[in-house]
Amino acid sequence: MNALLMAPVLIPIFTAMLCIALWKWRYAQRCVSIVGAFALLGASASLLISIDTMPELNGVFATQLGGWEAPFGITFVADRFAAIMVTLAGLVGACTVVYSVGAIDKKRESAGYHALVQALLASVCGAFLTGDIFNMYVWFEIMLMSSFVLLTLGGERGQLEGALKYVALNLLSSSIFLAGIGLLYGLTGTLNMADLSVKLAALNETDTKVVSALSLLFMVGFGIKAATFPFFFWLPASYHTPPSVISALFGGLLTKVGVYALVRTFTLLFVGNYAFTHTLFLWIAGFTMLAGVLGAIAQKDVRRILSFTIVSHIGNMIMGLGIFGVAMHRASITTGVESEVLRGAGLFALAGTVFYALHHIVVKTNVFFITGIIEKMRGTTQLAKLGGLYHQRPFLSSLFFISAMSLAGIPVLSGFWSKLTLVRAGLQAETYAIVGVSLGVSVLTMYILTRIWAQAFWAPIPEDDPEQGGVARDNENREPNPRGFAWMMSPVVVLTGLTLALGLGASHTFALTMRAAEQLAGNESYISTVLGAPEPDPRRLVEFHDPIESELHAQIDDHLESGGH
Amino acid sequence: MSDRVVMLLAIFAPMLAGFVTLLLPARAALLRTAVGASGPLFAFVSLLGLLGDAEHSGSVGWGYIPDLGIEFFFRSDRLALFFALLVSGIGSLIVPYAHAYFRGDAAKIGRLLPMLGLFATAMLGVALSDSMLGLFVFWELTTISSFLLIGWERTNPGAVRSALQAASITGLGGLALLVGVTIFGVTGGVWRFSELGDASMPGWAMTAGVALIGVAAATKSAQFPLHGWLPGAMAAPTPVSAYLHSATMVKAGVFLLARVVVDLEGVELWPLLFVPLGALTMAYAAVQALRGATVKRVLAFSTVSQLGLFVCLYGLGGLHPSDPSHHTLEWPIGQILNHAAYKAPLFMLAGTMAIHAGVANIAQLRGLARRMPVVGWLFIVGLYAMAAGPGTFSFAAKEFFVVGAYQATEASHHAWLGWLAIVAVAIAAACNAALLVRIGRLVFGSVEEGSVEVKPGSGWMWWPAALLLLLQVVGGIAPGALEGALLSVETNPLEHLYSTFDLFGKPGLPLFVSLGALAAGVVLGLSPLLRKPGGEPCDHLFGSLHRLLELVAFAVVSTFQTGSIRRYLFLSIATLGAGLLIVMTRDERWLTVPEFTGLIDSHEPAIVIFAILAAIFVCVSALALPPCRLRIVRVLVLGAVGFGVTMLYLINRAPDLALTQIMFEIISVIMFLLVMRMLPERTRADQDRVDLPRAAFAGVIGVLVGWAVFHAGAVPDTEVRPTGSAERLGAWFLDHAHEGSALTGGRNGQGDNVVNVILVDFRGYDTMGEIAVLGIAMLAVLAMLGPRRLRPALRSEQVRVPGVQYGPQRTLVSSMLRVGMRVIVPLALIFAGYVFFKGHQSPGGGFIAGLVASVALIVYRMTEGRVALRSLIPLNPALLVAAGLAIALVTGAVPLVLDLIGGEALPFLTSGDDKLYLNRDHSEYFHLTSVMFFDLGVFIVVVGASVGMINRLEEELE
Repeated sequence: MNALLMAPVLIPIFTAMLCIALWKWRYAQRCVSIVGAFALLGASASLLISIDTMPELNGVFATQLGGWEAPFGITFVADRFAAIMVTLAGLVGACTVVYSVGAIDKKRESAGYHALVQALLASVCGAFLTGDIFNMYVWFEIMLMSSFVLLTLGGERGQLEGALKYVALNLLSSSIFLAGIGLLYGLTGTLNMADLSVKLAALNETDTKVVSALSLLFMVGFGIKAATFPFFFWLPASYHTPPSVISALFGGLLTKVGVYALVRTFTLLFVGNYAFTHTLFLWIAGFTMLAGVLGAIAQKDVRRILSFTIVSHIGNMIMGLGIFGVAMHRASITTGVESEVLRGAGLFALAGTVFYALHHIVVKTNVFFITGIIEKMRGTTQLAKLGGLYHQRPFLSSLFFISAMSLAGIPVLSGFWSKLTLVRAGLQAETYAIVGVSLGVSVLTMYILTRIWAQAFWAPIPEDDPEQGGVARDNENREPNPRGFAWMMSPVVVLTGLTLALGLGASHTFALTMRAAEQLAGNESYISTVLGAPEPDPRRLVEFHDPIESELHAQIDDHLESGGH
Repeated sequence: MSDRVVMLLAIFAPMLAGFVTLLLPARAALLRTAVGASGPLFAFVSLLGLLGDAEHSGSVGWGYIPDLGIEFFFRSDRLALFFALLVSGIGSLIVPYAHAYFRGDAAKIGRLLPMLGLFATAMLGVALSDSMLGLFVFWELTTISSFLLIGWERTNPGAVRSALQAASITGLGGLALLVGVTIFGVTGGVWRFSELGDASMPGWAMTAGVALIGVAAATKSAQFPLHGWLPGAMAAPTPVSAYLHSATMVKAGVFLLARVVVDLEGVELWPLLFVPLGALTMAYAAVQALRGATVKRVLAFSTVSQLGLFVCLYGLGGLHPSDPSHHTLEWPIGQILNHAAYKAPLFMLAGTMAIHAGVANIAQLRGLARRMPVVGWLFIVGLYAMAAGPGTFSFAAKEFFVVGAYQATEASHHAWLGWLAIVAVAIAAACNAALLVRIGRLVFGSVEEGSVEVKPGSGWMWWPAALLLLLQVVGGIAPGALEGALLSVETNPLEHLYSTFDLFGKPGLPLFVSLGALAAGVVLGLSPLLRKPGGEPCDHLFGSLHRLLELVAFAVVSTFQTGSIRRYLFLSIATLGAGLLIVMTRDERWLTVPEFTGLIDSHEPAIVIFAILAAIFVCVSALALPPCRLRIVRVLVLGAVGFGVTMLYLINRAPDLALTQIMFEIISVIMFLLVMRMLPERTRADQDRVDLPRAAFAGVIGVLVGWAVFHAGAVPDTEVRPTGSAERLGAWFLDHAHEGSALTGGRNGQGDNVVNVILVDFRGYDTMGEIAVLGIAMLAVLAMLGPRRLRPALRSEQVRVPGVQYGPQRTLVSSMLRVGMRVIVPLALIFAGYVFFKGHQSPGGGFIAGLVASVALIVYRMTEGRVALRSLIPLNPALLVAAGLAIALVTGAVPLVLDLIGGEALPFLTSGDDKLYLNRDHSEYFHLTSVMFFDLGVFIVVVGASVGMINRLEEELE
C-alpha cells in the first residue's frame, strides 16, 4: 500500500526523467510517455479501488514519508475524494498522451513536451495526495512551472501574451498561498493538515478572528487557481492559445486542483466559521457562474467559448462547497429532524461537488479534444468559419453532441446527475437563490452549446469569402492523416463512453461520491488515520441518513404491518 | 411478465427499433421503415393488454438512487395508458407516412427513424412515469429530440434558429419542472405523482411547486407568451410537425397538469393561474391563426389555441376536482382525443399538399378542390371539425367545455373565471369558423391559369387522415360506436356520450354560445377584418431577448476581461484587501495593538539593533525599487533586498541559509543581466511615473496584510494547543536532528546541522519537489529558446579594441579576471565538495554545495567559453538534471521495495545509515547515511539546472 500511494507521483516523475534523458529521441520519449501514463492510470485506479473497498482501511490510507510520524514529517494520504481525483488525473493523462501522438507537432514534441506533461501530472497527483500544506505548495509550484512552459511551448505570439497573464496571476496566487502557510505555521506551529485541523479547532473555541482572516488568504489564493470570480481572468486569456491538447489537459485538470484545494481546506481546516466563509462561497459561486456563462455568450470562437464555460462550471463546484457550509451552519443552530435534514443536504452538496468535478474533468477534456480534431481539419475554431461538420463527420459530431449535452446537464448523461445532486442539496438546505442562479446559468449553457452545434455542425460551410482569406476553400479537403486521426479519435471515443457510463451507472457513481462526501464532512477518519490516534468516537461521526426517507419507510412499514393482518 | 417489465419494454421498444434501423442496409428504405414502425406498434399492442387492469394499477418499477429520490416507477392508470396509446398509436401511423412523405429517400428516412424512435421512447416515458424525477428525465429527452428534429433542415438558418429557440424555451421549462418536483420531494417527502395527495408541505412550498410545474407545462404546451417556439417549430418536416408539435409532445404540458390536478385538491392558486393563462392563449392564438400566411403556421396557432383550451379546462377542474356535482373535468380525455382526430389529419393533408402540389401558403390553396379533389375535400372536412361544426365529435367537445365553464360560474366563488373561459372559447370558435369560411372559399374557388391537376401520390399520404376524420363524423352522429373504446380510457366518464342531436335537444346558454360563435365566425370570415397576413409580436421576442443577452454579455466581458494584466492584478488584490477589511471590521479586537512577548527578550541587545538595522535596509531597498528607472539598477536594488535578507538569516544563526541566499542572488542577478541583454532598449513600462493612487493602494494592502500578520503572531501557543498536544514543528526538529526521543523510539536525523537534516530527511519530499522545479525551469529555458543557433552575423561584426584581450566568444574579459578564475574555480569546486560532505554535521549540504559549484562553473563558462565548459563537463545539462533526479528518487524508493529482498517495506524516503570503518580497530569511521545519496541527487540537479540555464542564455547571446 505504501508503494501504491506513492506511485501516482513517482511514476510520472520517473517518466519525466526518462523523457529528459531521452531528449534527442522523440519517438522514444513518446513511447516512454505512453507507457508511463498508462502505468499511472493503472496505479491510480487500483489505489482508488483499494481505498474504496478494503474494509480494514476504512476509506483512508496514509503514509508518513521518511518514517517520521505525523505531524512532524510529511504525510501522504488518500481518502476517497483524493483517490477519485488522482484516478481522473491518470485517465486524463493517458488520454492526453495518446491524443498527442496525432495532435502535437514535431517542434513542440522535441522541445520537451512529454517531460512537461508528465511533470504536470506528477504535480497534480502530488497536490491531490499530500497531507501537508507546505508540501501542497511545492506541488503547486511544479504545476505552475510546468503548465507555464506548456503554455508557451511553441512560442507563438498569442501564446506568450496569454501565458504572461497566466503566470502573473498564478504567481500572485502562489505568494498569497505561501503567505497563508507562513501565518498558519506562525499561529499553530504545524504544517500537517490533519494536525492543523485539530489545532485550528482548538483555536476556534477561543478566538476566531485570526482564523477568519487567514481563511481569506486561502480563499483568494486557491480561488485564483480555481478561476473563480473575480480572479478568473487568466483562464479565458490563456486557455485558447496553446494547441488544443494542452487546453484539454488544462481545462480538464488544472482548475480542478484549485477546487480540490478549496474543498480540502474548507472542509478540513477552516470549518469554524461556516456562516462567514461558506456564505462568501455562495456569493463567489453565483458570480462565477454568471460571469463565465455571459463571457461565453460574448465569444465567437469555440475554444474561447469552452474556456469561459469552464469558469461557469467551476462556479457549480464552489456552489456545492458553499451549500455544504451553510447547511452545516444551519444544522448547528437547529435541532432534531430539521438539523438532520440540513446535515443530509450538506452531504448531498459535497457529493454534488465531487460528482461535478468528476464529470467535468471527463467531459471538458473531451470537448477540447474534439475541438482539437476540428481545428486540425479546418485550421480554425471560429464559429463563423466553421460549418458542415455534421455532414462531413457524423460520428465525430454525435460524440460532440453527447458531450455537449452532458455539459449542459441533459439527463442520463453524467452532467445531469451532478447538477441534480446540487439542486437537491440546495433546495434541501433552503439556499434558493443560488439554485435559481445555477439553473438560469444552466439554461444559458444549453443555449451556448446548442448554438455551437447549430453553427459549427449544422450550418453549411460558409461561402468562400474573399475577406476571410479563402479559409473555406480547402475546408473539405483538409483531412488529418488517417493514422493521426485514429490516435486522436480513440480517447474521444473512450471519454464519450465514460460520460455515458457514468450517467447510466449513476447509482454507483453517486454512491461513490456520497462515500467521499461523508469522509469530507466527517473528517474523523482522515484525522485519525493521519495522526494515528485511536478510533474516533462513533458518536461524533456524521452518519448519513435521510430523515424524510426513513420516516417514510417507517410509515410504510407501519402501514404494511397494519394492512397485512 | 409483470406489468413493470411490460411497461419498460414498451417504453424502450421504439428507441431500440430506431437504433436497429441504423444497422440495416442503407438502401433498404422499406425494410428500415418497417422495423422503425414496429417499435411503436409493439408498444401500442403491449400497452393495450394493460388496459383491462387500468383501474387497479399500482406504482411499479425499480429504485435507482434512493438517497436522491431517484427511481423509475411506472403507473398504468387510464390517463397514462391513454396518453401512451396516443403516442404509440400515432407513432406507428406516422412512420409509414414519413416514408411516403420522403418518397422513399433512403438517406432521409435513415436519419429520421432513430430520432423518431428516441422521441417516442421519451414520450412514452413521460406518459407512464409515476416517479416525478423519472418523468423529468424523459421530459428532457423530448426537448432534445424535438431540438434535433426542428433543425432537420440544417442548412436553413430559419430552421436552425427555431430549433435553438425551442431548445432554450422548453429547456427553461424543464428546469422549472426539476425545481418544482424537487420542492415537492424535499419539503413534502413525495417523489411520485401517485403519492401527491399525501404530501404535507408548507403553503409556500406548495405554491412554488405548483407555479414551477405551471411554468414547465406552459413552455411545453406553448402557452402565451412562451408559445413563440411552436410556430417556429413548423420548420420541421411535416411528419414531425404532425407527430411532435401537434399530436403528442405539446400535450405533455397538459398531461402534466392532468397528472397533478386531481391530487392537489384545494390549491387556491391553481385555477387562478391556469384559467386566465389558458383563456388568454386560446383567444389570442385563434386570432393569430386567422392572420397566418402559411398553412402550417395557421395549423400551429390553432394548436396553440386548442392547448390553451386544455389548460383552461384543467384550470377550471382545479376549482373542485373531486366534487361529483361539478362537471368541468368530465370527459377530459375525450377532449384531447377530439383534437388529435382533426389536427393530425390536417397536418398530414398539409404535408401531402406541400409535397405533391407545392402548396405552402394559404393563397396557394385556391382551386385545390379541383386539383386534388380527395385531399381538398378532406382538408375542408378537417377544418369543419376544427370549427366545431354541428355533426362532428368536436361540436360535442366544445359544448361540454362550455357547460363545464358555465357550471363553474354558478358553483364557485371565482365566478369570473368561468365567464372568462366562456368568452375566450367563443372568440376562439368564431375565429375557427371564420377560418373555415375563408379557406373554403379559396379551396372551392376557380383554378388559376396554368395549374394542372395533381393526384395524391401514395395512399399512405391521405388514408390515415381520412380514417381519423371518419372518427370525427362517427363521434358526432353516432357516438355509441365509440363508447366502449373511449370509456375504457376516460378518467371521468360521462354516463354516455352525446351526439349532436342529443345536444340540440337541450337548449340553454351553452348551445346559444356555440351557435352564436359559429354565426359570428361566418360573418367575420366574410368581412374584411383581420385579413392581412402578418406576424405577431412574439415572433421577435426570442430574437430580441437573444440580442439583449448578447449586449449584457458584451458589457460584462468588456468590464472584466479587459486584457490588462494590471487591472486583473488590481481586482484580485483589491478583493483580498476588501475581504480583510470586512473581517477586521466585524471584530473590534482587530483594532487593539497585539502584545508581543519573547521577541526582544530572547536576543542580545546588540543583535536586536543589528536585526532592526537589517530590516530597515530591506525595507528601504524595497521602497527604492519602484522609482528606479533603469532596469539594470532595478536588478541591483533587488539584489540588495536579497542581501538584506541574508543578514537576517545570519542573525538567526543560520549561516548555510545565508550562504545559499548569497549564491542564489549571484546566480539570479547574472541571469537577469543576461536576459536583459536580449530585451529591447527601453519599453513603455520604464517610462511610467510612479503614480500616487497606485502607491496608496499598495500601501493600504501592505498595511492590512501586515496588521493581520501581527495579530496572527500574537496568538499565544496556549490558545492553539489543546492540553497535551504536540510541540511546535521547529522545536521538534531541533530535538530530533541528533537525538531521538521516546516518541520516535530513539530514531533521529543523524546530523548536527538541523537545516540539512530538515532538507534531506524530515522534509526531504519537499526538497525533491523543489529540485523538480529547478529541472523544469531549465527545461523552460531550453524549450522557450528553442534549438541553439549561432548567429554568424554577430560574430563577424566583432570590433576589436587594441589592448583588450577577448574571450573565445566576443565576451570582453580582463586578463586579471581570467587568471584569477583559474585559481578560484578549482578552489571553489573543492569547497563545494567540502560543504557537501560536511553538510549533515556542520553548515552545508547538497543544495548549498550545488550552488557554490554552479557559481564557480558559471564564472568559468563566462571567462573560458562554451567549449571549455563542455570539456570540463562532457554531459548535457539536461542529462545531469535527469540523473540527479533519478538518484534522489531511487534513494527514496529503496525502502519502499525493501520487501522484495526480504525486509519490511518502509515509507518512501525512510533514511538508513551505516558506519564505513576506515581502520581495523573500528576507531575511525565515516558515517554513511542514505540521505547522502539523496543529497547527491540534489547537488547534481542544482548544478545541472543552473549551469544549463546560464549556458543556454549565453549561447543565445553569442
